[in-house]
Amino acid sequence: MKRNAEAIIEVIAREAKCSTDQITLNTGLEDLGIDSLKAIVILSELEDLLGIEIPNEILGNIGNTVGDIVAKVDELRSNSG
Amino acid sequence: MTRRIVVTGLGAISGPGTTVAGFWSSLSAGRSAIGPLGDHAKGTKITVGAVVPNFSPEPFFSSEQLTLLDRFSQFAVIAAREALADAGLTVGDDAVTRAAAIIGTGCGGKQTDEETYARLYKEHKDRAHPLTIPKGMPSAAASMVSMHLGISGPVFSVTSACASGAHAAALGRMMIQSGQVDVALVGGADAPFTYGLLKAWEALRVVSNDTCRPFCKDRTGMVLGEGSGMLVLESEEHAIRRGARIYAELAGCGMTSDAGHITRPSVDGIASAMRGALENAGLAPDAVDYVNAHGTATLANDPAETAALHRVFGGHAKVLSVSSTKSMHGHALGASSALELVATVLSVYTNLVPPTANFTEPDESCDLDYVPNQARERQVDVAISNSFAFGGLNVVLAIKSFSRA
Repeated sequence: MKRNAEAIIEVIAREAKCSTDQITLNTGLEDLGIDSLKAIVILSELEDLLGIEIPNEILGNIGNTVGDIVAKVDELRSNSG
Repeated sequence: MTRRIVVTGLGAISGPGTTVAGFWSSLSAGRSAIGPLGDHAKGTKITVGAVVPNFSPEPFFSSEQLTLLDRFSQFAVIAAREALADAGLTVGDDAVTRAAAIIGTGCGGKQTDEETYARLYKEHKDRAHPLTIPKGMPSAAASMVSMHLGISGPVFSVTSACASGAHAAALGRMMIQSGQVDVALVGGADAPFTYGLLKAWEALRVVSNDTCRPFCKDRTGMVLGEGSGMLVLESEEHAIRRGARIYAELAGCGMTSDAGHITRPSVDGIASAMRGALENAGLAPDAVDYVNAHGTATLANDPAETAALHRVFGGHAKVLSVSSTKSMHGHALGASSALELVATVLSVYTNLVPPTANFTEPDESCDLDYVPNQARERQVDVAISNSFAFGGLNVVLAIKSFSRA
């Protein structure tokens, strides 16, 4: 699960144009300038990277922090077995 | 700038029907044209849309003509022919020859472009189809309308995503008001059911795989449509002089830009467009009976549009009938605002408000009368048609029932 978080932080850092050192699980998405459009790009990259399908419905309920995205992805990965 | 501009002809081809009569009878019955896309969306995750039913271009065009007509241009010419005939105008009439034609499109000739790209990128052919440029260019529909109908005045395309058709109507009105032309054919056309474009919409995650449920709690996004809507606009004196049937007056338009976010609507921007349309038409907010909403059923649009309606109309907002006909013809992008303008004009002309179809229960942030599922007979003296495009480009058109001054 840790590797999962690291991979997700790398994707988010790329999109937020910052270094991974500046991001923890508690970092707020808004603080990183992640709006709905950037969130869509991140989800799309995560789908490719992790080989999962992230349903559109998640967008309305993506949470406020990097940790929220990690938790959503963990949940999806455990559900998909 | 006191010339009154009236609507004398209507044309429409879209999911709900291949003529205005079919379109309006579906809308009046609350019948949604949204259904499974089948082969139209092969290889994509998009499953539903509003496709023109059983469409084949052959009855409308010769095979020679078809070599130059992308699907979006076919729709444009078909609707333009209908609008002109409906206005009692004939190809070759002086009024038609001197007219303007302003055609909005969000996408242009995607089918043509994508066929060529598939040939080059996928099949690794070395040669593009020689007609790719004239057939696929975004202005192709405007040129084809001009050529097919012999319209020799100012002809061009406008593009502003989902507001393209409304911007076209606003420009046509201004062109008549300025005295440049007496007659303007205005509208929009789009044919977005192509593989590449559907994949792009799929990636943006705003398209529903359920159906289009504007203003509802369980809405899951927009649903694409295709087609064309066209209107003949003319100066009041020109229409009266030739004894034309007048549907309504295009009394005002408001245009603003959010200058903000590329996809998220701004309540300020859309409210100021509505105010602008009313001021331009010389109408008080409480004169408005019906609002044909932008109503995309995306998470972002519907609460923002509702909030803007409250802001502009105050207590009168609760008295308005507000409906989104996208629930029936889908979001036909550049054609959508033109189809919605046709619906708005007919609502004023017939005193019938088309419903918001597929309505379940309202979202908690959407608290107006959305005319759920069933059309409503009521006096409609004034209506506005809202169009708010991606990129924050807003157009609101005000339609007023016509009475001679």
